[in-house]
Amino acid sequence: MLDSSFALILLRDLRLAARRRIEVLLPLVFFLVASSLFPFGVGPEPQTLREIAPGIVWVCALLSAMLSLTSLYGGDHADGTLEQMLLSRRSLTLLAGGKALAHWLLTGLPLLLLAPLLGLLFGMSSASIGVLTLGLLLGTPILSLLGGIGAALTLGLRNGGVLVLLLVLPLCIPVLIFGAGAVTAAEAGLPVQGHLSLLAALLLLCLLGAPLATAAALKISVD
Amino acid sequence: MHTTIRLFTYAAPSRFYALAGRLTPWLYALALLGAALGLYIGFFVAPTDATQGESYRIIFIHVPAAWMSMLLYLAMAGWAVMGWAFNARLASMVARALAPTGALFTVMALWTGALWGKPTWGTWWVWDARLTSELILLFLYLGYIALVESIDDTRRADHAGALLALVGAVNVPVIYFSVRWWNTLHQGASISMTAAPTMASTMLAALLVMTMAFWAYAFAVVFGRTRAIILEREADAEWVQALARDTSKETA
Amino acid sequence: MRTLVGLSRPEAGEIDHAAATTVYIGHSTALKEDLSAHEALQFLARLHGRDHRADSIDAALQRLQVQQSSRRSVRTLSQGQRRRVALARLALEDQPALWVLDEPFDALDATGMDIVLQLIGGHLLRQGAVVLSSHIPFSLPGTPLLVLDLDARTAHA
Repeated sequence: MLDSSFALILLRDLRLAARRRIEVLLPLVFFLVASSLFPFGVGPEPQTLREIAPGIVWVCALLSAMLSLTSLYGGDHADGTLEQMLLSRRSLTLLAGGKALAHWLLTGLPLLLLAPLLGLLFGMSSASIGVLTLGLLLGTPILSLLGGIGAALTLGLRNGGVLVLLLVLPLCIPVLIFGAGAVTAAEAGLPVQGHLSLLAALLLLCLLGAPLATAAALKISVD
Repeated sequence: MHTTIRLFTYAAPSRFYALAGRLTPWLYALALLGAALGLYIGFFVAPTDATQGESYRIIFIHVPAAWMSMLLYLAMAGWAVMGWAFNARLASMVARALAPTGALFTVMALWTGALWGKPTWGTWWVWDARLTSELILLFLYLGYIALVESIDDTRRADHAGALLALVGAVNVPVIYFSVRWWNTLHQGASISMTAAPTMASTMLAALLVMTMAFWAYAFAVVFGRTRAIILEREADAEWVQALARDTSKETA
Repeated sequence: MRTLVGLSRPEAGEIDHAAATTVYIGHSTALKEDLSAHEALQFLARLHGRDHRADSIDAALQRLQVQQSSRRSVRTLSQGQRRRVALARLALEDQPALWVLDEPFDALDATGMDIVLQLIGGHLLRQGAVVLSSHIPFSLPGTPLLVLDLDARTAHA
């Protein structure tokens, strides 16, 4: 089990992250700071903030999750590890999957654990916060999976950081729509199963397709 | 067998270059005539709309432009993937040539959409489902162009673009339906094509003629751009050198 | 070198070789800076499905005489030490395979070079093959050696 490609990469990335704890915290700090900017922009009126909260939290979660994308494959590309991975007999798709899971565990999961705090800051009800967190639980892995494709395509490029955002953000719009839409529905007392099941469906689609696309992108980029 | 040879003949850049060169003037002529005819029908012959008056006439540019923007994206993705899968250089070049034109039509659709919106609701922009989808399509085009322009290595750029366009193409239905849901959720304004369920036949005629004109224009421009890309990439080839010599002899 | 192992597509022609397994050690060492030498080598061994038990890794590092750095992080190692750790992969090999080594003697002192040449010699004895590039002259007596001089575009034994 430990020797499976998926687990090998996952554990290595987690170990590497453990030795660079500050870097792991950066996207979380950004999440907090960016979300907190909005009240300064739109005013502290509780009603307004409650209305726009789902959108703000989701957009900031999106941007925060994308911040660490360039380093997803960048380090391995620079020191030659990626070449070794390509040359090994191992399935690149599984390696990509392991990478995406590592990214989610280090970025997406902490974000969704932090989200309830932001919900409180924006005065959301506990039911809404629950739906927010559940939505993020389904949506943040999608961000990691789609982000992997973008990171693999922009490997080693000069302006890769901004470029990957430009490429991946439009693809994440459906996630944003359903995730934030679910919270808005919960606030209005409307059912949320529709939104959440659509998110789950998108997640399934990405789980099936994204690692494969990422593997193809890696082969293209290293050629 | 004979037909196959004929088909793949034009997969060679040099022969495509020659053929496209001969066709381009005719295509521009067709585009011009078609546009003149279509606009005439649209602006002078088609009846006034019951609810929207004269301002609706912008749809004769807006709708064909929107159709073209979507079709060209699919064409771009299709050619790019072909170039990637079969290592067909010309297919990749055509995909690169399609992108700016597709983006242009998208901008045209957005701009005419705004022009339509102003007299209808008083604002330059509404987050209507179709307009918003069109905006996202523009982002997809811009992303493709940004990616392929950022990669110096031609083959990597072409293939990366192909993968991105493919992922985008797969996403387009998802994006479109989610945006439609989002729009109905929040009860935004929406542009409806016509109030009446049946469109006057003259309106339909104008739309079709304009679409055809846009097609001809797209072909002409894309052929021209592809020829330029061919010259750039195949600069070392014998036939390009010969062409350059002949051209300089003519101008000398 | 990269085209030979399949990392780059050739502009023209084809690559055809009979080896079932290829071991490529390129110019970059593929050692993660935040890992210890032991951990980094173990990861590479695992990645390529070789023996990755702790004592085997230790033995490989000892063969290249870097076992004293085994628990230090790669970042703290000198270029020469990193090169030795990277090449320690070869000490884990026991099959007749094709080794493709890009400037393996780079940053190595005379002792290091000797050890690597010994490993290569041992590999050749078990029917392995090695393709390496080097701007440092070396000799491996008793082996069939084909030298390709890329500048002069000649080949000689």
